[in-house]
Amino acid sequence: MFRSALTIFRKDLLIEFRNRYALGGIVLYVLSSVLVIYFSLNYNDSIRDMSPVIWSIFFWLIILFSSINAIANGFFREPPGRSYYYYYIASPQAVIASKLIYNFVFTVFLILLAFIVFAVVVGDPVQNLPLFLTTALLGGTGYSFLFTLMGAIASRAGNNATLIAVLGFPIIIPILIFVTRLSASCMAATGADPDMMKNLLLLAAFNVMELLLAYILFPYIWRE
Amino acid sequence: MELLHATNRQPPMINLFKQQWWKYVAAIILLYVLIGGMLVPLGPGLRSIAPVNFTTDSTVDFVVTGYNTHFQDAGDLQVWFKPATGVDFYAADSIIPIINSTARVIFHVPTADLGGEPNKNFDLVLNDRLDGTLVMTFATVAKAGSHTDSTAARLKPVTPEIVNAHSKQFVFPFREILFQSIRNTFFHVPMWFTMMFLVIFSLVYSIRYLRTGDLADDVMASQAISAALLFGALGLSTGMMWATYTWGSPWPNDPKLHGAAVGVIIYLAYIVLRGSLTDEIQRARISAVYNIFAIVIFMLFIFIIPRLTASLHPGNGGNPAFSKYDLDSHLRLFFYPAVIGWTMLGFWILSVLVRIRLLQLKKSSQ
Repeated sequence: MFRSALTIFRKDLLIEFRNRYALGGIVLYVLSSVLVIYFSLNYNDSIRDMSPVIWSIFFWLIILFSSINAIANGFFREPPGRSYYYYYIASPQAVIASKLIYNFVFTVFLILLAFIVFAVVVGDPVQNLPLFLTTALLGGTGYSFLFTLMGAIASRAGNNATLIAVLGFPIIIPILIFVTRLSASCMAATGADPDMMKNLLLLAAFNVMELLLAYILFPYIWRE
Repeated sequence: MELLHATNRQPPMINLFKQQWWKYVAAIILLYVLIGGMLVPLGPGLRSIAPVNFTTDSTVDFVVTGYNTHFQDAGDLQVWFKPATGVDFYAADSIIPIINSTARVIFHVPTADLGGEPNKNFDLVLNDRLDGTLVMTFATVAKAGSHTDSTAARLKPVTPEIVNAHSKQFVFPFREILFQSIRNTFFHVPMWFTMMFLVIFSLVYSIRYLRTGDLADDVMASQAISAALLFGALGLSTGMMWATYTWGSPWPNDPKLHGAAVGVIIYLAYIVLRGSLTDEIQRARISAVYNIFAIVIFMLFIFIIPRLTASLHPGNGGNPAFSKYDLDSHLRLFFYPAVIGWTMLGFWILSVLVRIRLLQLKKSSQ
């Protein structure tokens, strides 16, 4: 199963690099959303007194919108006939595993990209970089797993782009709460947040639960 | 052909759904709850005290106003003032019941009793034979007066002698902030319970559908969500009404409210998802998958997220759970039937929805 998952993952990656428009589009998406936030804050003279909480909320909202776009594309891109081919060569578990890995890598890439752009343009209030990277990793996992599953569901409903937002936004809120709280505590100047460990564990537990649900439920979505 | 076969099969609950007796039971229970819950009077309580602020070393004439109290009829009204942060009780100097709901209370506080503080909060404690013990916390504030008499005798703590601690009548408890709106306990809370039961019922049938592929199970699951959404809307509207009169705004910033709102939106998305899938079999399967996913998030919102932050609701953020002392034995007599009654009504509505849908499927497959 792992071998075929890796093969599909490698194929997806290859397609992404061959057809650089999609990748470039998402990178540009991140850049322009950061700029939109930067200008809207800057021309209201509020960028100086932006609190760490507001910073992290803006940051994770940009990640939310760009990853939902990127991941929705991941399922939409496949031509309709291609899935029949997959039925022959791979188990549904292998397909979902490849999609999860691919979207995870992609989302973490997006988070790091957005972080660099944010740090340069808006400012970098992060004090505790290891914690921020852990949050980015766990948050990226949460975002990518959830949106992969929702993308798979939406792809069955005629690739409706509204649908993935309708399905995805309400259920991403728990993750959004955890990651914004965690990144706000990365930026606290004084000491460690007592709730930090609890939030990290809850986020990790949430990701494990998503993984289990994806593993169990994806075959039902995949079957025609 | 497969569709025809699948819809002709009867879901296992349908026989119960077609029976009448439990619908009569539901109607009787709900009538009992509606009539009893509205007619039982609210118990005695303290409404106000005037003046709220007074100066030390002067005799103050307070007017205490009660609600459904029997100050005059009881004939044995006792009044104490208790420092809000202390444990001592100080008896009032004299007590004159004017009418059943109003009494004059004379009291004074020597400056020395403030213990050097600029002011001191007092709770008001009343007791009489008929009303039991009534408490108003942080009722009055004693402020140090301009002239101080250090020789004045200090207050002497007394041990209250209480004949009867609880109201003798059959009443609902009088609670500050809630007042008469305590009756909403028989509507708001059971409506959310009903939504939870229907959502869990739907989850069970979604899992069944994934195992059996029987479209009748999908009908059960999807119609249960419709009924649950109805009760979610009822729970939200009764909650908003309640919050307007108790917390001062229809939508206070409260994590439980956010969870409820997200829950309703998640299940509205379920309806949208079903609407955008055209193939019957695929619609049933995909929406069952989403339903399983949705309930996990919903439970997370109802049970875990509210415990992370402070909440106005009982049982969260340090507030006592309503089973502790918000629900007294008289409320329970109506609350538990209300839960059963509203739940049965929910399943009654569900049974009608399911039967309509099954007939529609049967007709379309003929």
